[in-house]
Amino acid sequence: MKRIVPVIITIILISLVACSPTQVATPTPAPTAVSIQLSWINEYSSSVFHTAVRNGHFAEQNLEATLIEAGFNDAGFIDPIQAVLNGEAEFALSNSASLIEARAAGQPVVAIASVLQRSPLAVISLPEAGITRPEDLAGHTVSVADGGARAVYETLLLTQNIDASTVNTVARTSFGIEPLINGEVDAMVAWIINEGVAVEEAGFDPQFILMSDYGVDTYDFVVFTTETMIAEHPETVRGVVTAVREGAQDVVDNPAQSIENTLTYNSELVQAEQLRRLEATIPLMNVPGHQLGGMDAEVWQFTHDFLVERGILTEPVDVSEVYTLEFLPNDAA
Amino acid sequence: MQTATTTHIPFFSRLRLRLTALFLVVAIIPIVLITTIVARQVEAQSRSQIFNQLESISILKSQQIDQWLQDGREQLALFLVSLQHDSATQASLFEHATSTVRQIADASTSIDDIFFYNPQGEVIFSSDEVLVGRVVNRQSYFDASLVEDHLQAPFFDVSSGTLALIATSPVYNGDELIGVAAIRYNTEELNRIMFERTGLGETGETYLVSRENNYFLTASRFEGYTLNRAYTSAGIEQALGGQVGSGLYGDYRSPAVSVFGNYRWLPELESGLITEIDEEEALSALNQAQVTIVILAILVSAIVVFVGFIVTNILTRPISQITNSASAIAQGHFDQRVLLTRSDEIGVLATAFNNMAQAVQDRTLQMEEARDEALAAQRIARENSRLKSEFLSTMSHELRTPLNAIEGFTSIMLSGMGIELSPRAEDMVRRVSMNSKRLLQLINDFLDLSRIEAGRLELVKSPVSPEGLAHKWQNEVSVLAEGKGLEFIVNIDPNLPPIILGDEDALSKVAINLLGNAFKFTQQGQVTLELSCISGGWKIAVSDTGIGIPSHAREYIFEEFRQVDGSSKRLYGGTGLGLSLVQKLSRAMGGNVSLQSEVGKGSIFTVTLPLEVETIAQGAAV
Repeated sequence: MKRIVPVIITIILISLVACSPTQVATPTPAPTAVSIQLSWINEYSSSVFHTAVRNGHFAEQNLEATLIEAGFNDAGFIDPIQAVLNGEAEFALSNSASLIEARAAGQPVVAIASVLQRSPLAVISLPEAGITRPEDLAGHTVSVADGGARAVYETLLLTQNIDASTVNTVARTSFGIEPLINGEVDAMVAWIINEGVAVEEAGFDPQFILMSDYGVDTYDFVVFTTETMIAEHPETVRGVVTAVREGAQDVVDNPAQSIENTLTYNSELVQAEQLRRLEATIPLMNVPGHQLGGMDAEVWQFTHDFLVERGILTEPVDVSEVYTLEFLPNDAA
Repeated sequence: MQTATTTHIPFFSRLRLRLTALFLVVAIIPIVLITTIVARQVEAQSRSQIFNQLESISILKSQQIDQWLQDGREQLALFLVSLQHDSATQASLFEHATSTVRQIADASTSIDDIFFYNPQGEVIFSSDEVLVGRVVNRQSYFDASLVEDHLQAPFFDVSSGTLALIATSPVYNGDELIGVAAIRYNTEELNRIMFERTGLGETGETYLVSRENNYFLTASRFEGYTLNRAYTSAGIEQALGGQVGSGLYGDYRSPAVSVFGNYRWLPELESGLITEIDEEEALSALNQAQVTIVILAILVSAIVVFVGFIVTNILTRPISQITNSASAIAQGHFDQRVLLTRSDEIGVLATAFNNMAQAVQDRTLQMEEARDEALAAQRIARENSRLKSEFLSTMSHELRTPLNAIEGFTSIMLSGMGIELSPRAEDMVRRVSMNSKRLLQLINDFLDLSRIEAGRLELVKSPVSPEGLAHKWQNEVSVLAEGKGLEFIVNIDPNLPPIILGDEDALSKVAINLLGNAFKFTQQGQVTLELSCISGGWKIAVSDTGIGIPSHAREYIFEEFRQVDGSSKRLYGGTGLGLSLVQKLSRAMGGNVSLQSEVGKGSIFTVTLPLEVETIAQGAAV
């Protein structure tokens, strides 16, 4: 129930924003309405989309975007993939692993852009644990959430030739960082842009083993839609990708203003905390040699391969069908 | 007595002020010009020096950066040489190299780490063990590093949280690429180079901006401007546009903060090197110099004005003394003198003035004496005149009394009242009567003239009819016309008012005298009396066809006892008082008399008089 109030407020705010004069700059023809299902509640992680809307980038593409936040509701966790498949939204945010799994399950979803160019997933520890590289994990207790994160973590151990039995891997049961800072675990697998910042905010000096540094890289905050949308409304898809890329550029250029945009969607957020997280996110969005929103084939391939190796996928799929670079500029990496 | 001219001179006309102003203008113009030129030259030189200084610093920084980069490359080359010297197995090569890279990295302050990765991007060994096992195949330098020596532009490394600068060189075993040697520069050295701010004052700084989103690669010296964030300014744009140069522009902090900047594109780092200093601070020395120049200019101007004032005072003070003396003399103080003992031109002027004053004093004294004499003579003359008039008046009265008796008795005798006269006796009595009348007329004219000259003539204005007067005069003189067989014509202007104001007696004397003269000097033809309106008055004109008056006589014809010549007096008779009386009476009535005449054809005497109209008492007219 706690989640319902902000959801209602957000929907009202979105409605107000959608009806506000700045959003009804109505060129001819009338703007196309698109709804975008976010992957979590309205916070820094969706600031690119808040900013794209608030700064008029969707309107510039003659689109009237409605953002739908995710998180949990009475029915449980809102699955963006299911939301798109159910027709509740034309576009949504997910990650590369989930999208490959959906394709393997025969669901016609296609990634069109990735907000993050590198995965924020890392093994986070405190200096006294002495964990500066993967091989240092041996003999330590590491908490990992089940699912995709655990698969990535195990892949790291595998690629680094570390015997998994030498590491005391335990299930992560809390979204918080208390187990780490309380010494219950030596390390935790989490996002540097969230838990990493939280550890700093708690007054500690977090040590990171960034998965992507070891070639274990996946995509998060991936924008996707359906094959049908791409086939029937390619200009709408191109408009969404363009607006998202311009929103990302605004975030890179002016994170403070972007967080103010986000706060208009969720006034319960603490601005300073959100800004710190967004600033930690920007280096993962804006990576030298990779353009904003871009995607690499090898990351998709790596994601697919480790899913197969981990047994999450029972059958290989054609990775090239999971994503398309069609709507990104030609020099997209 | 001539009033003395005052010495008050309008403030702005005063010589002292003008001379002082002249000094000021003569001094100020060159001072202002020189000050302006000097100030501008100083400013231009200052700006040039600032730009030169910034450029020097910028060149120095870029050289230090080049040196830093070169040093790193040398460390990389050293590492590559050590690899080539050990051509044993790959495993032993790597084992040996690990210790080598540590030694090299520890020995150099330019680099942090040396590492080696295989063609797949996996770090095989490194001076920092933390890097071993990492995969760099998605790093932006990876693809290029497999092909040739490469320097990757600085970027913000997520893993280390610091600025990273990587130089790489592919390593071959024969023709086989076995991996890539890479160094990671110590970017703290870059900060050290940038943070050395000698010559940049309190606001000067140098910083590097990446072409990647205008990111700051080195820190701003000002708070609130973080690394890895985009900022822009004209200098940054120029540098990232590949330009090298200098300019004055709004800073990245705010367009309102004007900075002197030198911008320089560093191709190897794909970054702009910016060297800046706030205009306000940079020009503070210039402003101080300009203030000093202006103060000096004001001081010099003040001195010039002061000297000008003194010089002007020296020049104008004696002039004031002379002026005051002249004013005193003008007011009658003829003994006033200028007391100056100078040998220059002003001293000569003072002496000349004193001489002139002495001359004026002497001349004035003489004039006063002459004036006193003239006044005394005038008083005597007036008294004589008065006595003469009084004598004439008395004498006339005394003469008239017996004449009246003679006239009375002769009239009785001629009227035949009781006395029978023989024709001869009657003729003699008539002659006595006629001569006594002429004598009486003469005496009357004398009396009138003496009254006029004595100022006792009193004109009494009363309503008179011009037409009535004309008929009256016609009756009086008609006997003359008839006696000489002359035609007498009277013309009265119908526009003439029926009643006017005037002294009837005076008008009659004027008219009768003129008519009498006309008849007297006309032997044949006619005499015309004309009364008519003229502009602003009326006139009495008497014209005749007589002998006329020569032009030379017209100048004195109105003088007393004068006729054209003595012969005419004898020929025509008369006293020569008539026209004089006419003129004096005409003038006494506010008019005048004029004469037109041609010898042998006749004369026209015209008396013009002001017209005064009686509007009420018309019934009292003659």
